[in-house]
Amino acid sequence: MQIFHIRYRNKQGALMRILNAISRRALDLTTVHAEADGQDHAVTLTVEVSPKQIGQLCREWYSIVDVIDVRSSAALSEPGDEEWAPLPPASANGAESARAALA
Amino acid sequence: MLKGGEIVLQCVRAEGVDLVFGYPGGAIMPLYDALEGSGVRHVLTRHEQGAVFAAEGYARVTGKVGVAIATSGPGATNLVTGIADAKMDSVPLVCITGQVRSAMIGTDAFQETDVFGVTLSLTKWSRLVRTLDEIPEVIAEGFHWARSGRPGPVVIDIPTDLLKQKKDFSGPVKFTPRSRSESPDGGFGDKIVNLLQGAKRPVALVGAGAKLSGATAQLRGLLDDLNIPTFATVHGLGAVPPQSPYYLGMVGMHGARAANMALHETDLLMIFGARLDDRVTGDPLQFAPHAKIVHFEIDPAQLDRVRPCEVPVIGNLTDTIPIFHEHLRGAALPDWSDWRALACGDERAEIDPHGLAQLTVRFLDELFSRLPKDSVIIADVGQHQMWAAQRFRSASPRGFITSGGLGAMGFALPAAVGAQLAKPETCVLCVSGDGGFQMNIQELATVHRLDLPIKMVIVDNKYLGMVRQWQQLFYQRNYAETDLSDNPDFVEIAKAYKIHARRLNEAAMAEFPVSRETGDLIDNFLLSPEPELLVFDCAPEANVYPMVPAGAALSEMVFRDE
Repeated sequence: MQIFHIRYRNKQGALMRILNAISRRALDLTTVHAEADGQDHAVTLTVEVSPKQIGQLCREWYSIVDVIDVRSSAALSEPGDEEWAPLPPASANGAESARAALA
Repeated sequence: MLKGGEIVLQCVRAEGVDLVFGYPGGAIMPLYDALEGSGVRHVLTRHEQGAVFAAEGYARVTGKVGVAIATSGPGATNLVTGIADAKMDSVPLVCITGQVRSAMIGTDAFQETDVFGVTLSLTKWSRLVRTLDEIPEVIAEGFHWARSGRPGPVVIDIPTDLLKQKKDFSGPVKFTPRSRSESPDGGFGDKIVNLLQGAKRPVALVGAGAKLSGATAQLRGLLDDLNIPTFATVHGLGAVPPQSPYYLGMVGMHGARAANMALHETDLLMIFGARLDDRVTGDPLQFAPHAKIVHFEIDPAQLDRVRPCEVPVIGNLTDTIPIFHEHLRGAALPDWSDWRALACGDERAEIDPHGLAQLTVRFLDELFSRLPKDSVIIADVGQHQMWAAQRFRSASPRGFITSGGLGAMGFALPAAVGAQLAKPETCVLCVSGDGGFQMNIQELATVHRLDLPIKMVIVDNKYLGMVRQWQQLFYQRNYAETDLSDNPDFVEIAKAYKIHARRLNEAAMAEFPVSRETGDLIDNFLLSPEPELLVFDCAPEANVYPMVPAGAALSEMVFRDE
């Protein structure tokens, strides 16, 4: 299970585009929580994904015009324990996402 | 006081648009009512798909934003294939659709569809306009996203009541985006030079991005200095002059033998603006298996899709290529002459097609060789598309246009309409198959009405040829529903549209060089100042080779029927 934290401008369709990246892959979306985050909005998604899909999803989200920032972490047992890793742009951040893409 | 329709057109005009393609209907009528005197010329196609493909053709040959207009409901849904095509091939496109009255939205009103929702996953950006006041900003922002970064399609859906309302209008506005830091770090130049210094078999792969960014000149200068084996995707054709001694042709499923072999053997792959479609890579696990990768790309989403790259260079190629080129100057590079001799040598020269495709390929060679300089070839989708791509020999960066990523049959004829209107003095050659031509055959009426001197070729094998080829090779010749032997007489159809048409049988190509009579026929066809259709009867079971079977490595090419 993977947790994604995406900050976005709450414009028409922005959240739908984010969710569409999940639905087009027929992934199981366990939880969705969206709320205002300062001037912007943030959505936290819990999704069952393969390592390769983590990189794919992050890159696809990052290409959405209204998305500001994408972070990902493995889901831990205690909420709040997550260690967030910024992902895109994928290769700019080095080997981690590269390994994910190769997986 | 101006009506909403007039405001829309003023804002569109302010974006530099003077030509749009469309088809009127109920909800969009107020916009059409405002057309006269707006400074925006409207071209009526005979189907909304024709309009959106024509807008794409215009955009693809000019680099400007193409604009398509349609009404609500079926008008809007008929745009969907073109929108998807623009997304896949990075074409700047703005579609303006009428919507039912604001108060009726969500009630399943007559001709209501949720076009915003339908196109959400296909667009780069979209808006359903809610107030008259926001129209100028929405249009400015829509055009910005259509043309900026990696270009793409935008949908602006406007309820009909807003198009009718009046308001004081102070003029179009400019859109300023909030920036997102995507600038490349400055260190990539040295990293790439280091990789080059350690490379024994470097190659360059050129994609559409090199042309879309306007970086063709910079890229050519760089490649001339690098002098490493170079090849192009189907959308990269024309970015590198085919006469360049290091150029190997098209790469991929139906790519040149030498190009596919070099890509398989390379130890350093430099990618310039290509997203590595599966038709380019073959089996991703066997793609460039020995290579480190340097990827120049404007869209971070395209990095690492197939393989992780050692050096990503995110940014516009017009910026990043010169930076790298500067680092390269004065750097001591290895002697790659042996590698170049192997990759570009005669032993790997293209195998001339044998068998049933031979005469068709010879026909295309003859046709292309007689084209005026800087002609535009627009290919539909199928076998003829691949034959045309294989034989394309022009150095014109926007000289070969096709639906590559989506592979939308029916693209070529309406796209040729848009291209010819964009470049009235240029020879536009539309190459279709008999299947694809019938998918938008109604646009012959547009060609006739505008008297566009498009040169249309139908490569008629009386099959859905590419599907049939796969059925032959991978489905034991079970030609399920690909037989088009009862095709209409295309010459007579063209005549019904008052377009001159003639037929050429492939037997005319058996003589080599071709007879004077055949040569004159082709010349007269190409040089006519009027629209012309030429139906070329080709062998029904001609196949496209080389071919990399789906899922195989690029090195596993097939060259002839087994």
